[in-house]
Amino acid sequence: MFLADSIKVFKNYSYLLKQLVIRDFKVKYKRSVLGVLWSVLNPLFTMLIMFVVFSSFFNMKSPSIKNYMVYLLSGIVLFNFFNEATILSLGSVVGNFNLLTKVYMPKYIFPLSKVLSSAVNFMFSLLALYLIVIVQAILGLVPFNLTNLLLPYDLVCMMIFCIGLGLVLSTLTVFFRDMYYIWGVLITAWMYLTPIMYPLDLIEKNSSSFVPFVVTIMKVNPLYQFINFARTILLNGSVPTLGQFIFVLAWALIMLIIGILFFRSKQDKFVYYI
Amino acid sequence: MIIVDNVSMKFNLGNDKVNTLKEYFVKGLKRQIKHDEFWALKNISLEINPGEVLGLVGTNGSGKSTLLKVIAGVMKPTKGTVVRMGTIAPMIELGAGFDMELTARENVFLNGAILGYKKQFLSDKYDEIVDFSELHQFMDVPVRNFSSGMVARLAFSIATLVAPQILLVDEILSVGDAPFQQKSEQKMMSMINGGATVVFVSHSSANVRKLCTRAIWIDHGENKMIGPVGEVLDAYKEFCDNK
Repeated sequence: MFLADSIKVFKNYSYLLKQLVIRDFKVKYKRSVLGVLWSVLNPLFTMLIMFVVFSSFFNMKSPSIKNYMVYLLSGIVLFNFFNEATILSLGSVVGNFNLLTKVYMPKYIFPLSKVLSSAVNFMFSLLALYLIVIVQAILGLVPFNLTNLLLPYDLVCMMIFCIGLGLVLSTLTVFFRDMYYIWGVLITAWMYLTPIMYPLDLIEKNSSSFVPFVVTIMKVNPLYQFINFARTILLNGSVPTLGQFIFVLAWALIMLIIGILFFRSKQDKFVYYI
Repeated sequence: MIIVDNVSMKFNLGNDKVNTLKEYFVKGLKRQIKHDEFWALKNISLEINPGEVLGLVGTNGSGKSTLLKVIAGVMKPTKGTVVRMGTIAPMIELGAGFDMELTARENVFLNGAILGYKKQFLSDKYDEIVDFSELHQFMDVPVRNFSSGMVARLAFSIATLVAPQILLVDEILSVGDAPFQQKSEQKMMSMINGGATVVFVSHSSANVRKLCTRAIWIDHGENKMIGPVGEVLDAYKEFCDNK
């Protein structure tokens, strides 16, 4: 009964959701000459700069990494999606207070639409990533095979994870506006805790006593799981293990359930915190 | 049909609002988190029959808008329940969610979706909206280049598109220049008289008297009086004069 009602409401507002996502996309490049092309060029240039910096100045190359360029770029593209989706959804409820107090609509539609908008941008970054992957594959440096068809599974799980986290963050921000700044710091820490630019064995080699602890955290880290899944496909051309499949799905569902329960329990109090 | 059953609405007053963690800790340590409770609505009960036009009067800050928002479903009452039967159109604010970067055409669909309309419905009614707003040659211009009067025309044309079963009106909105004001006022009058169940908030006694059969007067969130429009307005007028 309750679930049926929720689904009905969601269906009624799916058109609004679509409109909000389209709006974000249109407004983003409205007044630029190259327009949507920036969605591909921007990540491409960022990736190339980071590649030059990390491979020539810091020498992050490691024998365990088959192709540092694809390793780095896949990490950056996935992390950027996470970064954008969480930051945008964080302020989405607060940013739409004037609407929420005037017209009835399901409140979760705002964090949800922001994650979906980020996902649209992410699609274009993926184009940039695959541009590089295919060039590398032609040069014979990385495999390129049917395992790529498994990538959407990973990306959908990651998107669901972002939706769950977005629900939590947007709720917290209503009650504590400090979240804008707290999250900025947390996400920076999270970025360095995730092996994006460096290989994991660079940390494992370190002999300091808290290293095993840090490595465990890094491996449980959902972002590591999502990125590692993608890298198994892009770098090794092999099917991820059953454990990897379960791990990414589990993170997605756990976060989504936490997000829904938390948001639902607090949403009626939002109007008091305008 | 609207049934408002024993609705109370509590707000914690603004000065205690703790919006940041630091404030929370500092005030918590100083034991300053006291919540001055403010009841914007106290035990309001009323029933509005299908097709009835109910006037809602009261001084500023008496709780009229809060009651409208509770009926619209935007706010959940602290106590009590609200039952609404039928599609609802809150005409509380026009142009909610307009995006200034988008064109007028794009805003018709965005704003329409926010008001809960379906895509098919909006496509069908698109010409009607453009005709009513008289903005034909500007539909592909970004709204940021519109004058405020033009924005108001467009918003009004979208908001008054439907014949809803329940209509919540916060003042008769007449927008734009003189000819359009007349046109929009007529449109609103015809919507109110069009058979919908209407809650009509206004400071114009003349309008309330003209449109409503029954009226409710609330003061400090309490139901002061409910009954035939003439009696309620006379009592309210006397109250205002003696103030």
